[in-house]
Amino acid sequence: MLIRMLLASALVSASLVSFAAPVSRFNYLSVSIAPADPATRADRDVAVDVVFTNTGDTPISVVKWFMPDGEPEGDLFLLSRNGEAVPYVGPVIKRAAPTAHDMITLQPGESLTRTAELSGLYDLSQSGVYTIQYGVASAHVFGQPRSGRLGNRVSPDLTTQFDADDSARLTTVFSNETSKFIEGRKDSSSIASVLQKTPSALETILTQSIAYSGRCSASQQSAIVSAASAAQTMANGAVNYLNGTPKASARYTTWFGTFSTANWNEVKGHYVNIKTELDSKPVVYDCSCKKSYYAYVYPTQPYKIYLCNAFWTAPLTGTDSKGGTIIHESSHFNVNAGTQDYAYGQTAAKSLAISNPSQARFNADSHEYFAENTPALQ
Amino acid sequence: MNTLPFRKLIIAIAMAACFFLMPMASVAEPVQPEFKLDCAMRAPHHVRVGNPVPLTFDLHNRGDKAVAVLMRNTPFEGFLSQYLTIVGPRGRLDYGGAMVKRGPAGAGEYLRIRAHTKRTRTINIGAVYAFDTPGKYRIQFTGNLQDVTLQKGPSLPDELRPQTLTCAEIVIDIVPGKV
Repeated sequence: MLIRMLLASALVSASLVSFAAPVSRFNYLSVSIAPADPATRADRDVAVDVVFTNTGDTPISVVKWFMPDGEPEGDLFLLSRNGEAVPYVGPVIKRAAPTAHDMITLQPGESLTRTAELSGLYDLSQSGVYTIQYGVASAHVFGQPRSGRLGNRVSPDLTTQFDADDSARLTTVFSNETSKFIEGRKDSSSIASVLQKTPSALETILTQSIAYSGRCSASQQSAIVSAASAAQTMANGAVNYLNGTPKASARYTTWFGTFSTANWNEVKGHYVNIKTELDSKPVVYDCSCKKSYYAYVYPTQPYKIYLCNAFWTAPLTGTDSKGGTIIHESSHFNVNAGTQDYAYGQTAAKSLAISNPSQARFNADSHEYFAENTPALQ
Repeated sequence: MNTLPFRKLIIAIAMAACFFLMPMASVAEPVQPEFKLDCAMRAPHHVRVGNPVPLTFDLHNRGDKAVAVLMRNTPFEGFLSQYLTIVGPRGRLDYGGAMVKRGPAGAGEYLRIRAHTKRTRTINIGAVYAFDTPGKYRIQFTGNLQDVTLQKGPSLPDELRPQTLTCAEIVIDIVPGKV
């Protein structure tokens, strides 16, 4: 909030001093902003292109976390809708003082374009025309320590001001303003747009409680809704199947090995718990993981599922799918089944069912493949 | 009774059987290399409540050839799966680490162990298990080796050679003390 107040006051003062005379220590960093598209549907990412240009005649080193690069970097923008400031809802990042490794140097005349994704970072729940401006206030925007009074500057294209506060050495950097229409993210129109793409998600949205953390983009949120719906269908299918007469069926023995009614019922209990989770528990999907994994969980922390790189490229259904990954991860929660990862992959899971059925009944991939049932077994 | 035609028939059937079965027999007998791997766990006998609980895990290759071992489900990969069962004075301890779903193994996930040598990794199991009550804690290794190979690159998913691994159980005494 303090930073936002400083930014607001800096904007006012900049308008008053825009013709201040230049002084000897002078950096020109021009920042311009443009929307990637004029309007954004609720199920799409809200992207803006930010261009940083060194318009001076000496190199400038800028601390890299003031240049958005796809990762959450903090509150770098000023958004408003109908004149009302839009709150920042993204992560607040605590950082150490920047070092030489944290600098990006722009040579005179050099430009760097970065695309920033704003959904998940700002409250975009309401539809409307949003005004967007890049604006930061920090004592560490530039790499080299500066001494002496800098005064207020306006770069030649009138898009950037530099303002050094004597007491805090706070530097403010602004871009031009741009506007775009953004369809609200969480209102009924958002749900409607998701349903247009995935009608089967209706039941999911109406009955499930899905929340997001780790800055899920709009497209990721849409993928998660579809994946949760697919997982729900798989869990329902597994429970319905296991509600039938227990028998040494191909589907059961392939994934869980030796049949007995007790073993069958034990596995059925796992799926009943997973179905309950997906039907009615508050599941949190976190998008912050950038590892090559599909996903991970902490078994003692239901019902938070961390989704990683392989998840986003997986098919919605079928073997090693998005829906199946959610089944796999849900089976790990101690309150559901407390499964382990004794064997990964279909071949290893089939072998485990033969060599060690008691482990297979507590193997996460075995639960996933039974639920995915691809190719279908009876 | 002339039994010659009958004998010829038996011999013909036997020869035919040999002809067809011999190649099958040679294919059906895979050469299963014997990986002589065993493990051992070590830890301090006494650890104060609240202090780190270091567990050292040794994996010995007693064989005459170097092997590559997939590190999943072992201490060599840290805490990405649950490979220990720990029972304390209040029963079995919950594992507080992560459980990760992964795709096919990459080359970087293998640990190479030369013949007649061992590889060692020490982990702080106090980071993912709550040793918050004084008393004796029995620690069992319940992981396994999901692939052991002589080759340098990773095995294909259909060619994994899992192997069980048995370590002797150890006991740690958690004693009261300053946290």
